[in-house]
Amino acid sequence: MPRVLLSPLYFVTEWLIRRPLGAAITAAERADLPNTLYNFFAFGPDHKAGIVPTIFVDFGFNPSIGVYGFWNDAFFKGDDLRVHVSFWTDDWIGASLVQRVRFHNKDSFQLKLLGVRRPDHVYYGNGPSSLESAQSRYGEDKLDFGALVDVLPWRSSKIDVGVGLRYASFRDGHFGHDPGIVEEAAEGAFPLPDGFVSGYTAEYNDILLALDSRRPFPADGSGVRVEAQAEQGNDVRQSPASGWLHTAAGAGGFWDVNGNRRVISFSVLTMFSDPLGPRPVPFTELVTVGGDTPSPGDFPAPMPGFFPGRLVDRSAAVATLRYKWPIGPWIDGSLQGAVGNVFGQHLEGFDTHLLRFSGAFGIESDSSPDSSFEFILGFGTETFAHGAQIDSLRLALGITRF
Amino acid sequence: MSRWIPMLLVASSACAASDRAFPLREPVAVDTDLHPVSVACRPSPTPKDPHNVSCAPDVYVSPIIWDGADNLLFRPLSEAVGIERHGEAINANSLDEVPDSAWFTNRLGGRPIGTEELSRGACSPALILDPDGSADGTWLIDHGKTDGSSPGFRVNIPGKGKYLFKGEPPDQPERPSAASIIGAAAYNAVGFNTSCEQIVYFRPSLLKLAPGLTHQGNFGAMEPFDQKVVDKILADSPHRGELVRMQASAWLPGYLIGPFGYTGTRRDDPNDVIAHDDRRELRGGRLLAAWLDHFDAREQNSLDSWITEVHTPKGNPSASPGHVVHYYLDTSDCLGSEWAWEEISRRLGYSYVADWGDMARDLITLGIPQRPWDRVRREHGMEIFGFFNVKNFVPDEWKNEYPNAAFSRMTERDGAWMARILARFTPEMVATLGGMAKFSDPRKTAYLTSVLQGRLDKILERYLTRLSPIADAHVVGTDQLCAVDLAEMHALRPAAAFRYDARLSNGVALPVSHSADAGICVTLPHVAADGGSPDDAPGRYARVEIGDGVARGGIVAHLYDLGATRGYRLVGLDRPEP
Repeated sequence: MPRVLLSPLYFVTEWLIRRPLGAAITAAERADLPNTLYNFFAFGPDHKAGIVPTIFVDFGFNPSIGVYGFWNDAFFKGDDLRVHVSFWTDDWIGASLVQRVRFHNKDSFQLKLLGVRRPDHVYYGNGPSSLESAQSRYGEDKLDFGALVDVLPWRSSKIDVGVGLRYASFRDGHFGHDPGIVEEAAEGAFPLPDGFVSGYTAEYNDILLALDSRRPFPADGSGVRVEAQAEQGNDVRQSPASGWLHTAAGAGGFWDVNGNRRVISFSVLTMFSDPLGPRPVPFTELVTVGGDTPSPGDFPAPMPGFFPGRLVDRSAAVATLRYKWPIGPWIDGSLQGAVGNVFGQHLEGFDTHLLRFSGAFGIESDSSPDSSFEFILGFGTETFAHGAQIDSLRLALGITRF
Repeated sequence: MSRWIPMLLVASSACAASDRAFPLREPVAVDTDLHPVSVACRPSPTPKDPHNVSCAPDVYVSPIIWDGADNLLFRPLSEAVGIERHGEAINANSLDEVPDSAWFTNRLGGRPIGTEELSRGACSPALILDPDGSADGTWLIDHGKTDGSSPGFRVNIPGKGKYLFKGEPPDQPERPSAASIIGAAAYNAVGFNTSCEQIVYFRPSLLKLAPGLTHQGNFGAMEPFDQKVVDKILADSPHRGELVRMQASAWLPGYLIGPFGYTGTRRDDPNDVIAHDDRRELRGGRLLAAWLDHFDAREQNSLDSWITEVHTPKGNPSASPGHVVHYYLDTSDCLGSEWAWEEISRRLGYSYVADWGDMARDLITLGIPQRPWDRVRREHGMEIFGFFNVKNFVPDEWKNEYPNAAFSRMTERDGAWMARILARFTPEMVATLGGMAKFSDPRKTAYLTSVLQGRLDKILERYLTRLSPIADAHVVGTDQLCAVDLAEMHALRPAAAFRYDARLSNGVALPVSHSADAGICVTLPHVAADGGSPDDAPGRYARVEIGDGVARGGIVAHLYDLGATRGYRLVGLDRPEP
């Protein structure tokens, strides 16, 4: 009986998929097509260069398709080039070019040029109590060129020192039926954020110091990490000069339950953004919580159950409890719960009733810092004061996000 | 009168045996697939001869990408939704054994093999290389090795023939060649067809490179195969003084027609009528692969050869009639080969490279259960063996790098059959296998020998204690059914645990005699007289079940009593699952 019930499925898998695909791939292999494809996608001396198609879908945003390229030992041994281009229609395009020179197989010097034009960033207003119903869209054009020295002195500790130039301009955005930021501001949901009209061009300098006692795979993943980060930026378009100072500090403990990379961690992260000079900090240089972009250092992304850019203000505090475990070669699963929110200057207005909860389940690859697979299913809640009901769902998956 | 009582009891039992499972005939000892067959001739142009005509099965070019993708994803998916069920192997004979065939020859399972024969493997004396007796420049490199993980080249040696010389990656020196030699010897001893493999220490001046050669890797463009490439292969290979250590594989005889698949049959070989995944030797091969950790047991590491019966002066090797011989090739991954990535290497032997079941289990259980690849460690000083060990080895959970249909369908009976063969490897033979590695460091030989013995012991413990380990059943004289208990022979339990019990199907107990070498004999009362009823009359049929007190299941011997003069004839053996 089950065989009868499943016969249509069997027909599809066996006769519409497996056999035709087998015949096609076999014929292609006999025609040496894999070699041709391999030589197309991987080339250069010793096939150290190659290109990989990418796709990323973050529900609630435009998806992207693109190409990721690598070239190891490009101009000399230890010189790695990475290029990534993604797009979706003509108003969403991103490109990055990274040249990373490795020393002693661990330390590196990196040059990075990044440009992004996309119309679908979200903005809900600043502050811990911004409303999901105020969701609006803005477009951004951004160029960022930076140099970074990355030194790994001991175990997973690191010292990063960077300098760069960043340009950003903004416009009204669109995605689906969401209102643009201008329309939403006109309806009084929030004022147009600082810097939206004028944009900015800033030089920046940053430093990250992290003391991390964890050892690399396959050693036990237990350890502690303490890190501090600071970035000072100056908007060179403004007169008098105006700028900001980002600072962040975090501490966490990691307990490898059985010494085999089943790691429970608890971390606390605080982030601040303060103006330098009379002008307010442009809204995209404020502290942001949400999305799965890693924190400035190497702690879990703060509150990935929210959309990227969901919570914006002058400071943030997030505590994260996370469990990460291996589910396959280079693939980890993770479960995490985080409590936190954004607040005013130096956590002004911090109140435990204003905290939100974010929960997320994720699968991610850890084979490369530049290109990865990730899947995340998460949710975020309203503030505890408003009942902490779930008001944000997040689903994203793909290969190599931009 | 008293002598008639047991006879009557037995006779009543025999008469009740209307379910005669086995007819009165000799078990199939040799398959007919070694008989010559003819294949339709057709044009088969080759680069050397555009007018070539082949009367052999087509050359099968195994699709390496599809084979991996199909076995990892599409075949299991299709079989799952098709709810495919596979029963027992269909080529076992009435004695629960595998007949000799184009695939398999009963060697170790059928007779004792000495250490000299074991170490010779498939090499005839004429194939043994003699580097000391060869002149410089006489070993002609005429082809670059085109694929696989090991670099190498083909050498044409006067008076010997062609050999594939394989070098060794520097990260596990001496292990790949040791694995090839030991693997081939073990496979050959068990009964599979293998190539002649040998470790050769030779002076590089023996080699001469033919000009204009090219080679191609698994993927990639054709590149010159020049002296620089050869020098690098030689430089990366282990050395003993000025001598270079390489592994030499003798070219197989016949017309090579590509690998055999682990499912279905080769359609253009009239002899190939049993689906390969239903062949016991291929299924049971999983245990042998597990013993040696031959995780790379996939179709690309096999080869079929057409052996023509037409012996003409010009000698077209693809002429009909002929027959196909099936070979196992390349066991260089055995004994702890590692991939370039530790994440994969730790899982080899325990999980497929993309194991959806293991991944789902680890995902759902949040990784709480510790897995074997979490526990494996390299032994200090024995790093060339990677994660090849005894401690973490669980015979029935062993996996190769991606699913192999025949391995996946191995049943308890298939495994027990292979275990009964592996049980013939004595400690002396295992030590011989270890010594064949010719390691520079004797401690590695000792370590390897201990690991091989330990893994073998685990296999025997697992597969000789469920189904009956009683083997070699045969009738001695006219009324003695004798056999050997392989579990007792290997002392898998204390001697006192082996308590033999033999009964007829009606429950009548039979006397069992027991010898110190784990031999047993059951005395059978005659159930039929000379003459009278036909030999295959139901009244002559008897079933005897023997238990050893250790294995969960017993063995059932099916016999015909042809009378006191001609005695009993053993026609069938059954090892029912408990």
